[in-house]
Amino acid sequence: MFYRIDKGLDVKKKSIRTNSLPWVRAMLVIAATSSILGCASFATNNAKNSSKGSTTNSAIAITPAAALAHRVLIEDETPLSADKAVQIALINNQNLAAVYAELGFAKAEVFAGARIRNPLLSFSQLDSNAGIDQIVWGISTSLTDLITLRSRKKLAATQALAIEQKVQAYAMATQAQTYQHYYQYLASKQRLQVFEEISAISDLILETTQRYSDAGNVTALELAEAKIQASEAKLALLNAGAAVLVARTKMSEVLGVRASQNWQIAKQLPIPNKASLYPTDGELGKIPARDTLLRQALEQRLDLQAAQTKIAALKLQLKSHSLENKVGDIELGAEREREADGERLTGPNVEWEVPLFSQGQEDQLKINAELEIAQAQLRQLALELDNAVAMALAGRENSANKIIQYQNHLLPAQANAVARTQEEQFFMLIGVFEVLQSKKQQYQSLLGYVDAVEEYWLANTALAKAVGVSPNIFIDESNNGSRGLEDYLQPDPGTGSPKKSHKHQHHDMHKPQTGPATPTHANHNQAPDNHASHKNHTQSASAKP
Amino acid sequence: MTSRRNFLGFSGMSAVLSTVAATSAQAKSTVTPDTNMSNKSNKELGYNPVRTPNGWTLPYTEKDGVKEFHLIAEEIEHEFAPGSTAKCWGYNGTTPGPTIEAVEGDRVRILVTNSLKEHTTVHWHGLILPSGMDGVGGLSQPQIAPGETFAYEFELKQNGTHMYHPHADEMTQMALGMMGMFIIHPKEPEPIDRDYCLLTHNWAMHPGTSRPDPSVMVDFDLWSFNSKVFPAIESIVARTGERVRIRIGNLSMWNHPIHLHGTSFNVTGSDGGRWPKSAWRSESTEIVGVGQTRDIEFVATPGDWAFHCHMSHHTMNAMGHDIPNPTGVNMRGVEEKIRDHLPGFMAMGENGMAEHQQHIDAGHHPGPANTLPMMTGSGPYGPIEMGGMFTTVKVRDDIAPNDFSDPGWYNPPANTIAKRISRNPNYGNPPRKPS
Ligand SMILES: [Cu+2]
Repeated sequence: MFYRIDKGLDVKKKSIRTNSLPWVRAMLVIAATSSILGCASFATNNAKNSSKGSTTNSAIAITPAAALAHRVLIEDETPLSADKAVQIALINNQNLAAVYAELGFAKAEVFAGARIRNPLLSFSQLDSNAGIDQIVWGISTSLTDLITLRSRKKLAATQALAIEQKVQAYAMATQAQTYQHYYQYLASKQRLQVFEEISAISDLILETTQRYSDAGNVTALELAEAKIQASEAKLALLNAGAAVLVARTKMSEVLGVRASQNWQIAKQLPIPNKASLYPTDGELGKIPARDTLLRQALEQRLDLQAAQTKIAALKLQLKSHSLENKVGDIELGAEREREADGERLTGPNVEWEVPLFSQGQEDQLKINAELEIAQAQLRQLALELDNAVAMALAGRENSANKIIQYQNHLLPAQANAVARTQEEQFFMLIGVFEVLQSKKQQYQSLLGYVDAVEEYWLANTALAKAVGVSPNIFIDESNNGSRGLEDYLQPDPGTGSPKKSHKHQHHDMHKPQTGPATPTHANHNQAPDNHASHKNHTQSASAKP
Repeated sequence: MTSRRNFLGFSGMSAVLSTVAATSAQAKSTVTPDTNMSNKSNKELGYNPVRTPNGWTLPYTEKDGVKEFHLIAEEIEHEFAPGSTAKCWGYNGTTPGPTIEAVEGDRVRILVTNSLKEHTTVHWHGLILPSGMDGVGGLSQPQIAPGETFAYEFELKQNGTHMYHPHADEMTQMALGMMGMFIIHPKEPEPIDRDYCLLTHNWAMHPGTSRPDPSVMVDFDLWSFNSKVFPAIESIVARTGERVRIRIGNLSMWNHPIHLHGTSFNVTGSDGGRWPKSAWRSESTEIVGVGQTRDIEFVATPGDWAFHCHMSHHTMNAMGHDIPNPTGVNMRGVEEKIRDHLPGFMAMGENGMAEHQQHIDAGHHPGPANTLPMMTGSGPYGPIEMGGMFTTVKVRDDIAPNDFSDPGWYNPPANTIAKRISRNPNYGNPPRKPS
C-alpha cells in the first residue's frame, strides 16, 4: 500500500516541476492527488494501471477526471461517492482556486527575483547657468545580480517549491474537508431518517391513544401526554431536517457548487467492515501501527514539507544575502555624456557600494529571525502532527469499539427486547403502548449508532489528514457483512412471524385437549446478532487502551 | 397401576426412599400418584387411603410400633403444566411434598433431612402435639441446619385434614413450594368411597422467568391445586352414586371460594376433623381461608363438572393486571400501520378476550419463554378458556372401584345438551326492563 504512495509522490513531484500553464498544473494537482493519495475509485474507474504510479498515466488521466466530475455535476443524478466529491471539490472549490491564483503571483515574484535585473536606462538633462543643457544617457546593469545569479536561482526554485507545497497542502486540506463534510452530511441524512421513524411511531402512539380515548378507556391526561410525545417528535424531526440543510450547504461550499443544485450523495453511511473494527496483530484493517503512521506522516505531510522547504529557502537566502553583502552592490554601466559645449564623452562606468559600514546586517538579522520562526513553526507542526495522529487513532478505536458495542450488543439486545415485548403483548401481559414504546426506544438507539459511525469516519478522516494522505487509503472496501442503518430500520423479519408451536402430549387431560402453545426455548433466541463469533474480539478491542 | 403399587409395596419401601434421596436436588416431580402405599387392603389398613391428584403419599416403615416417615427438604425442578417449569423447593422431589397419611392414635416419627442451603423446620399445621414438636424455628426448636436431620415424634391425638410446612424463612420457603398435606384417619372407618386431597397455592412465576419470586404479596401469576395449574390438574374421578370427599387445604396468600358444579355438596369437616352431621352445611361454594382446611362431601352424579376457585383471576394463567383496557377499542387502520413497524402485531380484545385463546392456539403468537397463556384448554365443544385453579369432576356409571384414570369427555344422553335454535340476532322478543 505504501509502496504505492511513494511511487505516487514521485508523480507529484514531477508534475509540480512541470512548468506549464496554471490550469494544466491545477489539473495535474488533481490527478496527482487523486491517484497518489490512493483514490481507489478513480484508479479503478479510469486506469487500472495508474496504480503502478507511472508519470504518464497521471497526465493522461487528467481529462477523464475533469470530464467525469462535470458530468456528475451537471447531468448525472448518480449519488456522489466521497472520492467523486473530492474530484469535484479540487476543481470547483473557490478558495482552492484562489490559492492556485496566488500561486501564480508568488511564482511571478520568485521568477522575477531569479533574473538579472533589467539594465537600467538613464537619461538626464542638466540646466546650466549658461543656458546650455547637459544631457546624460546611461545604461547600467547589476553586476551583483550576475555574480549571485546561481545561488539566487537555487533560492528561487526552493521558494517556488515551498509555495507549491503550500498549495498542495491546501488541496490536501480541501480533500480532507470534503470527506469530513461528506460524512457529516450523510450522517445528518441518516439521523433524519431515524427521526422520521421516531415521529411515525410517536404519531401511532397518539393515534392509538386517541382510539382508546374514543372507547372511553384512557384519561384526558393520557391523551394529552401522547400529544406531547407526538409533538416533541415532530419538533425533533424539524430540527433534524434543518441539520441536513446546514450539512448540505456546508458540503456544497467545499464542492464549490450551489446547495440548491441537484446533486446527491449516497443514502447510507458506509459501515466499517470487520477487519477495520477488530484489530489483528495490532493493526486495524488498513491502519498501520502508530510508529509507521508517524513515519509516513513525516514523509507525506505537505505542510510539513512546505515548512521544511521554507527553512531551506531561508537558509539559502541567508547564504545568498551574505554573499551579496560581501560583494556589495556593484553597478556596471556605460555612460555617454554630451557636455554643454557639444563635446561628447563615452566610457565605462562602475559604481560599487563598498560594504564598509553596512554589510546588510539588519536584513541578515531579519532572515535569521524568520528562520528561527520557521524552525519553531516546524517543531510545532511536528508536535501537532504527533498529537493529531494519536488523537485520531484513539478516536477511531473508540468509535470502532462503540460500533462493535452497537452491532453486537445494544442493537441486537434492542431488537430482542422488541421481540420479547411483542411476545408479552401477544399473551396480554402488557398492552400495545409498551410495544410501541419499545420500538420507539429501538429507533432512538439507532441515533447513537449513526453518531458512532459518523465519529468513526471523521476520526478516519482526521487520521488521514494528520498523516497527509487521502482518507480513502484507510477504507477497506472488502465486503463487510455488518449491518447498516437501513437494515436496522427494517422491521426484524423474525419478529411476530408464526413459529412452530411445540405441542406437548397432554397426559393429564384427554385427547381433544389442546395443550398450550409452548414455544421451545430455542425459538426465543432469534435475535439478529452476529456477536457469537466476535465476542472475543470485542473484549480484546475494548481492553486496548 | 398394579405393578407400580407392587413396587411401592411394603417390601420395596426402603428402595423408594433411597431413590428419592439419590435424585435429590434435581428430582422431577413426576412421581405417579398413588393412593395406596402398601399392598394391604383397605380393611387391613383400617382406612380408605386418600388420593392426592398429581401428587403422592409418603411411604413409612414401622419400627417398634412407631410409623417412621422421612422427609427431605430440597430444591426441585417442577412443572406447573407443559410449557412452564421452575426451580422450586419441595419435599422428596415434589411440590407439594408427599401426603403423610396415618391413623388417629398412631405414634409417628418423622425424620426431616435438610438438603437446602439454608436452615428449615417443619410445622405440623393444626396438630395437637407437644410444644417442642410444633416446628417453629427459634421458638419451639433450633432450626435444622443444611445437611442435618431432625426427628419429630408424637402421638396423633385427633383426626382430620391437616397440613405441614416450614416455619423457618416461611415467606421464601412456602413461596417456593414447601408444603404438604397431613391426613389423619379416624380409628373407625368412614363411609367414604373416594377421598381426595388438594392443596391450594399461589406462585409469583413472572412470565418469562423460571423461579417463583418470594417477594410478591398479592399479584401472583399462577394459582394451583397440588402445585399444578389447568390444564395439568388431574380430574377428580368417581363412579355414579359414590360418596366422594375432597379435602382442600390453603397454604397460599389468598382465600379461595371453591366451587363445584352439578351438586350441592356438604361441608363436613375442617382442621378439627369430620364434624358431627348436625354441623354440616350444604353449599355450592366454600371459602377456604388462608391456613384453613375444608372437607366437602357429595354423592357423585354423572357428567363432567367444573371444579374451581371462583375468583375469576384465579382460574387464569399468566396475565397482565395492568394492561390498558382494549375492550371497545376500534384499532382498524391503526393496527395495519403499527404492523409496518412491528410485523405480526395484532390488536386484541375489542370485543372481549375470547379471541385470545384462538390466536394463541393457532400458534401465530408465541408468548414469553416458559409461560402459560392466560386461558387455555380445549373440551369436546371448544376452548375451555381457563387456567390456574380449575379442574373437572368426572363421574361415570361404569368406573371400577380403584380406577382413577381419566374416562375422557362425557357423552351426555340425547336432549340433555344445550343446542342452537337460531342464528338470527333479532330472534324472539326478549323482554327488557321498561325505562
Ligand atoms: Cu382462588
